[in-house]
Amino acid sequence: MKSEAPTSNEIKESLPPDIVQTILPYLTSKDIKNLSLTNKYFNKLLDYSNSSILWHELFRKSFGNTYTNDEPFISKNSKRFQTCSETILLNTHPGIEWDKLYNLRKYRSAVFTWGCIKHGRLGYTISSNSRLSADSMNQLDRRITFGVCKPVEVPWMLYSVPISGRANSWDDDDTEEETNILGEYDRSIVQISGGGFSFQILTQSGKLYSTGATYHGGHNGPGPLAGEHDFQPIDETIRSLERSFPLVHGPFRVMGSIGDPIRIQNPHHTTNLTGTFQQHEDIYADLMKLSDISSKCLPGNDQVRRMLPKSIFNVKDPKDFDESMIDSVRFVAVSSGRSHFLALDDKNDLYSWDGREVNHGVKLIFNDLPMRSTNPILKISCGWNCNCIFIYGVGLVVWKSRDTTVGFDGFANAHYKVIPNTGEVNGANKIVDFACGSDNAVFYITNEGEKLWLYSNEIEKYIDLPIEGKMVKVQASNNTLAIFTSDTCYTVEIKDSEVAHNTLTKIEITPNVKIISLSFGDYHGIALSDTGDMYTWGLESEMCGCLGLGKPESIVSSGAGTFERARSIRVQRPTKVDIDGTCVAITAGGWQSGAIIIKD
Amino acid sequence: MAKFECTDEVTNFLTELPKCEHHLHLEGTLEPELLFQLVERNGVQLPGTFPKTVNELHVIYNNFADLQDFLNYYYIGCNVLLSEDDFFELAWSYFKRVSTQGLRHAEVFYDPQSHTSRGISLEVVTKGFERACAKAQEEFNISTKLIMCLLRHCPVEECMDTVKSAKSLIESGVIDGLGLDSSERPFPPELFVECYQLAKSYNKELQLTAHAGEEGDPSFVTNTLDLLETTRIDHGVRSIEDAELIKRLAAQKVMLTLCPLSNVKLQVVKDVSELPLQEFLDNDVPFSINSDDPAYFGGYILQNYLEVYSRFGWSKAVWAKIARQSIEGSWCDPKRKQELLSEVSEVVNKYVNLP
Repeated sequence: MKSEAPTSNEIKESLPPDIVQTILPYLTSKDIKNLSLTNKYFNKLLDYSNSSILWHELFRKSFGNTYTNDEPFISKNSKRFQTCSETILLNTHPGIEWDKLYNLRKYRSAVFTWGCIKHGRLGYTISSNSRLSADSMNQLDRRITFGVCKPVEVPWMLYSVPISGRANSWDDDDTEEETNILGEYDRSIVQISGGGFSFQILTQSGKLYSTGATYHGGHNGPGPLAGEHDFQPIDETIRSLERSFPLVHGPFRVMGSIGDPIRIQNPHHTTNLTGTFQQHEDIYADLMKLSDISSKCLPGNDQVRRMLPKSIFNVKDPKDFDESMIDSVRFVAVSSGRSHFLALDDKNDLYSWDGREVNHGVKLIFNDLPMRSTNPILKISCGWNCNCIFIYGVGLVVWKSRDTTVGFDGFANAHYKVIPNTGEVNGANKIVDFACGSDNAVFYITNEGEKLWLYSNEIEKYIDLPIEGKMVKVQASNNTLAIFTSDTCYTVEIKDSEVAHNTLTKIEITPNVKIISLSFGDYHGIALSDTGDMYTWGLESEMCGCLGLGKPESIVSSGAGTFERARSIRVQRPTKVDIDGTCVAITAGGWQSGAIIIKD
Repeated sequence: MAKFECTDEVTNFLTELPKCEHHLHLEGTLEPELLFQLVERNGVQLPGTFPKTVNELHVIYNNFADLQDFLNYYYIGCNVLLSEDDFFELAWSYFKRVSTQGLRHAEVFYDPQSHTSRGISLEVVTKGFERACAKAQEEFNISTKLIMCLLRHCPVEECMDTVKSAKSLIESGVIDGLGLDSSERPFPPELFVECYQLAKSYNKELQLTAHAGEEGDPSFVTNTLDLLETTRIDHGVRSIEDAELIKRLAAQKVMLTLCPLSNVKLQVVKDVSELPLQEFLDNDVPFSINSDDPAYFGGYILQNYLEVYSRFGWSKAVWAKIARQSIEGSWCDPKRKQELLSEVSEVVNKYVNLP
């Protein structure tokens, strides 16, 4: 049967502009681009050179992900929902259209880090980053560097030129214009998330990176239980490869008793080991290649490593590894705990990096919960040593351990619990926001907005705090909870999974500064205002520089802080950090801090 | 390969030069003679394929193929040690031997897990070594420190248990330091952070060190310093590959405990002359020269000094610098350091004719 192509008019009648606008949020950026190239009608409607609605939608899709705890849920009651970066850009760039704001966010933003510099956690070392000047470093008579005391840009891929020296991409014939939509997305950073010992950084292309030599700092996360170990595909491949050569044996293990012949079957044969080994040296070539791929760094920056899912290494023979698998998983959100992190991909699968031995993300399975196609994960949040996610129609799901992976597939069951009565999909009891603390403690608020709930030790209870106004957002760290109302925000300390009522503090900077995001490290806090200003306070331990307020002497001499113990500084009130730009995202790690900053 | 002749005067000078040893595994001082004595005394049955005589075993020791081959014999050797007296005797024969080689201070390693896994208690092993150390102080005026090492190829949980079982020994200061040895590459330092933190929590005075940068790349050294917070690196030869790390080692005076003959025997380098010793000196990275597992690697501390001399020559002033940095990097108290430093000056002054 021959089908006649519908005319533009027919399409316009069946899919009028208001319908198209309604479905835009459900399409990917790529779908929208494809649609715009379909015919004249769509091409005119989805006008990349003029349509502000389209660019606003693209902006939100690219930079306003609501999968992490940085933003509250979008719900019917949050009428004029805006992500933090939207709010900030509208306030700081009034009258600028969304196409320009999109380009600003995409091309003129960069990741800045400061604080403790140990094992490359800032994404650079003292000598690897030319942007690091002597006045940004806290040093002891130039011998020992404790940390970086001012925000410093992380060297990222092709941008050898610091952000301040870069061309504006929308008002000239920059070649970047060409690769605007479907081209290279690796340069554009969507999210940064601070863990105890590292940062996780997500690009617009869906690639996930982690800074430093180790994300876990040698501590175990909410992974396998003590004494259990994941199946390690690459190690197993090495072992089976070595086993195929009878005289060669793998990493030794002392076993047996005194004089047990098992311990050393034939010493004369083992003496010949090296000979056998060398004849077959090339058996390691494929393995070395696989090993290199599995620990890829950012081009030109060895301190930033690509994080990959374990499941892509599901080959018994390294020769069978398909290199294109590397880009088969596209991440859309990342959340970090003390020594672990979670990442969600565009298929709504969840991956966990959660222990000293976990170099690749383990895909988590939640047995007995409904399928993701009907009940997707809407938000992920890492606590100190546990995790909480919100699944549509199921509710809040918490866990702090999982099974080990057993085969080459890299999957494992999470040992989860569903918090009762959190699965409402509408009405007063619908969850508006939640925050994960430690040991499976979760704080959450509902649509009704008047009660703060705490789930801890498997019991839900409500906490009465003298807070004015409706609660709209909560954020937590190991020892601090932040509560946002429609007008202001509060912090309160958490001790042993309980709220210390007498520590409730209203965060007040000046009357005209409105805080829209908070993040906490081990001993410091960072606040982001709706005008893109950043404020820090708390304890800067051991001259680590995590407050970003400059050298200790100048912090003290300016009156902002006081010395505490030998080499620590206490800043009581939130103090503005000098950033020379507009900050659109903040994150506090253990002893370090990070931000995404736009420079016009 | 030797380029410089160890004349009698040089040999005498290097023998008299006060030396500190920081990298010596007591289990690695088990000479074939003592091994066969203990076999007989303890009625241990060796595997049928194991050499039957002292001479045959010496031949094997002279011809290890690689680290694995060495370790196979090393662990069989450990099996003959059963009683407190055995451990005492092992350490005592080491001290007797080096007392004639100008050794003044020794910080010695032992691997409790090689013995506890055979059912011998940590206390028995430690007590035997502790007695020998006390006797070395008394009879030879050799000061000592005892360093308990964790075997990194063992499961981390087991290493944690070892640390826990050593709690009272760490608190009382019988164990002065914590170390980490065995196969490096598959077992990076980050696996042992909690072990180190726990041990340090028992006693703030506990000194920390770890093997790193022998087989592993420089990041193993950096991570050992950052994550395990050690103040010393055992081996660390491969640090030379990272210029930033070299600057850091020099600035923070992190001493590398190098083992020239061991590196050759285990094929880290083909010849002692290939070691970056001159580079370390030029960059002010402190190091000491040590024997590692001398019974197996063909030479105690003096032999290591002589081998290095034969490849590098070096004047009296350079040797004095090495002796001084070995003393400075030791964990003994300032008074002892001062004693040893003045002994260095005396010896240097005594050999007026030596260039």
